[in-house]
Amino acid sequence: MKDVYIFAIESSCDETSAAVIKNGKEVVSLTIASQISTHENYGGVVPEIASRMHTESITYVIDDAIRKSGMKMEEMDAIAVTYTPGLLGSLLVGIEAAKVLSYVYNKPLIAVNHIAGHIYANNLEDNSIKFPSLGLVVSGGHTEIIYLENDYNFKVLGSTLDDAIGEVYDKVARVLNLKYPGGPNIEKLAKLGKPSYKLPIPMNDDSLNLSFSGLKSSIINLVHNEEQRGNSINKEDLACSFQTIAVDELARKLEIAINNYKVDNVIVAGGVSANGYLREEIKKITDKYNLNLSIPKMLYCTDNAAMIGAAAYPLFKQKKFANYDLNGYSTKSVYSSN
Amino acid sequence: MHTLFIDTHYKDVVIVLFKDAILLDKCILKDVKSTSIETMPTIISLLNNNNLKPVDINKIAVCIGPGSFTGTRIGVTIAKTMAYSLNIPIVTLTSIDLKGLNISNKAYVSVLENNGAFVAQYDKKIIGDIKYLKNSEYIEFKNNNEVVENIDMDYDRLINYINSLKEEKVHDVNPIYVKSIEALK
Repeated sequence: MKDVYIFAIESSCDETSAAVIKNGKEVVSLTIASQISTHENYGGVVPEIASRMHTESITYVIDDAIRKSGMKMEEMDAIAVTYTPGLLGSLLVGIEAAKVLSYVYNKPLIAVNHIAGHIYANNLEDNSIKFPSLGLVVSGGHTEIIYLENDYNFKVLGSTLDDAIGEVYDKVARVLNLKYPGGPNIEKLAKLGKPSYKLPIPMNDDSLNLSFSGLKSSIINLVHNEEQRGNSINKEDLACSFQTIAVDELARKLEIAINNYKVDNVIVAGGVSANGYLREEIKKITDKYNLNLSIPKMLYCTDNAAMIGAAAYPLFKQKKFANYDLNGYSTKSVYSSN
Repeated sequence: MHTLFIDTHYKDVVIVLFKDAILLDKCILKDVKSTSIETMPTIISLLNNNNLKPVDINKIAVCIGPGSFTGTRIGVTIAKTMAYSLNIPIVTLTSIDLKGLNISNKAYVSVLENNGAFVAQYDKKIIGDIKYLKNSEYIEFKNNNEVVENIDMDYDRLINYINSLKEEKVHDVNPIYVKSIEALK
């Protein structure tokens, strides 16, 4: 079969990214312009600033990705873009740019769900998704255990009833006065500490649902109470205690799913899959049950256009193309309803 | 020589096609619900109706606001990506210019927005800075100054102005944001 080259754009949050992806797998080129250093000053992503920075960098990023690929836009088979979920103003910059490329070069336009992107990051380079598979989706907006039947046929088995895991990492980071983004900074601190703080174990049941708001609140209360009493907080230990409980809970629920659904494959997806402790703990479980585990390479865990090109590939094969009236949506699910 | 003009700085989508110094065709959608849904299809149907392909466009002119942040950004992103991918010149003009072009004497020109107005003095070009006035401030300003608020756009004349503008570097074309960001106040 002829090779398929997809030019992909991602602008859903605070990275402007473009990539050329061959056959949904090989990263021919990838460019990421990160805005983290700007948003760091505000303690989180300011949507309007993010949209402005996407507009400033979009043509630079497109130009850089196509140059680095050594190819021409004319050689692409399709243009793919993230259309949901994310910050609407940010999504629209990538969407409009993608529409123009699709029109000017007369290539089909493919609308990609950002969460599908994180899932299909598991097809990039040495990784590959084998169906059926269980999946753990962990990011700033998502925490789900899913069943992957085949391409774009994903069922939610359980999900967070309140906060997403990445969101809780950011909130705990804030209460510990750590810089944005919270996840990587908590992980660094946790490595230096011991799980000495007693914190409530979330959702101590056998369902596949998760809950993190109780854990979050108990940490916020603990920090405030100690401050009022004039006691100091051992930040390293608190970060370690939080991370241990939160990740162990994710791992425990995944293990329940593994026992309930006999599959040979497990994938992990989403920004929080870059967390080293999570990667280790999930690996222990899949080793215990002798399952194939796929976690994207670190570079492809956080937001990037390579994963969007990977997620666009099955849609290209199914000829699921978008029209020029494509709009952005702040939330739209990739999971099939049942 | 075809020039494509794109203006999405507020609630309308305005696409105008010029051939040399003559207005060839235009499409103006008033009060659109979604600029992102309407703009590209409008550009494409205007070109199709005139049997033009993207490569037949030789120059892009775009309104960079001030106006709605998201609305302006959609037109600007389309314009700069089009100029970049077709490797053609791009020029920019403001929403104040679009009104000011139609007056012959020195006067204040305003562009209305949901909660206020962008105001600048105009005499063939903008004099000084564009200011953002909240509704209450704007009403007071109008009591003390003569302000041109509503004026019919003469799109035939627009091409002469566009042709007088200096070409911009495509990567550097961005909206102008006169208003400060709510979240940072």
